[in-house]
Amino acid sequence: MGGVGVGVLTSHLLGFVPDYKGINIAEQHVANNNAIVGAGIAVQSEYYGPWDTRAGAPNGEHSGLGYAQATDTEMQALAQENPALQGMDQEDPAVAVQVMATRIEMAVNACNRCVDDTDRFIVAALAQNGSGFGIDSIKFLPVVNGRIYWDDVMLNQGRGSSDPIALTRQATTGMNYSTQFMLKLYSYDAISLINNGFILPDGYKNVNWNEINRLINLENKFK
Amino acid sequence: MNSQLKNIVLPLLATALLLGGTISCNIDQREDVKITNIQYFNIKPKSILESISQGKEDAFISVDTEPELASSSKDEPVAWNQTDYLQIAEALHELVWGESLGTWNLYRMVFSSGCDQVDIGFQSGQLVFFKVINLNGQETRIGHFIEIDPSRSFAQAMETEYYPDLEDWKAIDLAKVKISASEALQIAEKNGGYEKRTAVKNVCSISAGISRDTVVYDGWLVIYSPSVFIDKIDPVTGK
Repeated sequence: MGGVGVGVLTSHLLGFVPDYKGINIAEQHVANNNAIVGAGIAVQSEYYGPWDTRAGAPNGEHSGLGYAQATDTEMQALAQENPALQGMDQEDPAVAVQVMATRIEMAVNACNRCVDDTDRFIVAALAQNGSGFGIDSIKFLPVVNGRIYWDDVMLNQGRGSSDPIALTRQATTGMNYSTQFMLKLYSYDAISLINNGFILPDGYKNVNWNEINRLINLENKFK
Repeated sequence: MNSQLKNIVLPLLATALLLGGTISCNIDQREDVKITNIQYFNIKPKSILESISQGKEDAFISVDTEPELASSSKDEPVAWNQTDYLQIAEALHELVWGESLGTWNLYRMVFSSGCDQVDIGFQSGQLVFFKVINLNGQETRIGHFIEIDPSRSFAQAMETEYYPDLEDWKAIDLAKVKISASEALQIAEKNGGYEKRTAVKNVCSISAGISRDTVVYDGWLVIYSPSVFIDKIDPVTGK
């Protein structure tokens, strides 16, 4: 029994299985069954707890709060894009869903180098985290032969993390947490949600899953 | 460890790890990122190096937007190497920010080209520099991003602020990088890259990048894409 529990926990920490807690939260609160927004909520809320509330968070304006893990500073920035968020509480699940939708929309809109649904899906996957791959990275995506050079992004980019669990996951998988690992978590959760009735909205319907899978397993091919 | 003990200890360890992880989500602070300056330029690949060395003011022509990815220069591919890109970056930095790169830390650089251009030179380069300053009483990291893309006759300069400065960016000491990007690529070619790219008839792209913060490898990472070949080159020994 204990062995099974360890196996499940380990598999989860290493991203071998979808974020079931987060997926359940997404299914409860993402009313329009949007898999792009839902997968972001699933990834961000998987480890949600009292520590993600204003009462329990110690870092004030720089703590990620609510199911979308939004800081107060980010809320101000998002409200400039989506006025409906002005003065709203990111701990409210309905607001968290709006936060995630706006966060992803802003990132994808900023990606003037994205040319197809796969590019947009990858940007959504990396940007939903809210940190580690921000607007700066999106404006500076490397290009070669007229396309975004995702291989370099997966292996060579993505900012570091001060989160011990992120560092643990990074060290044990050998995957760049804020790019390759984030793409893996997000994709698995999106697929789980789609299997449960969620849909990919326009602009994401024709994702090349083989390319996503190739990028997730990029380095492993050469080990 | 006997099996009974294992059944008790391992779940406890896993629970502790999971609890540590969840709590860390709280302890983990998030940096806020702000782009404070972004400028686009048209460049003339054929003459820009000469213009810079002669101190001409027309090396970079300011434009409002970035050209389409599909738009490529009618010029021949450039025969530029790492030194050329650094020279252009220095000139662009002085133009945009009015100061030399001398006091800035190099964070990352990556150069790329098509596989069929290996023997010619790199056709684009991205360089990231940073500095930690005290801004309004708070430690803030400033990033200067420079992109030079002669294949689109394009250059970009972007400044970002990261606050609070939580990520411990590590600088590349160029004086200690004995192997250049071109040399790293040539080593990768000998290590199997040439064979792999010719096997796919050069229908691939190549990049040589270095960053001390990369998870995969903190030396030169030479990538032949898509999934053709990857090599890791020590920037000091070349091995």
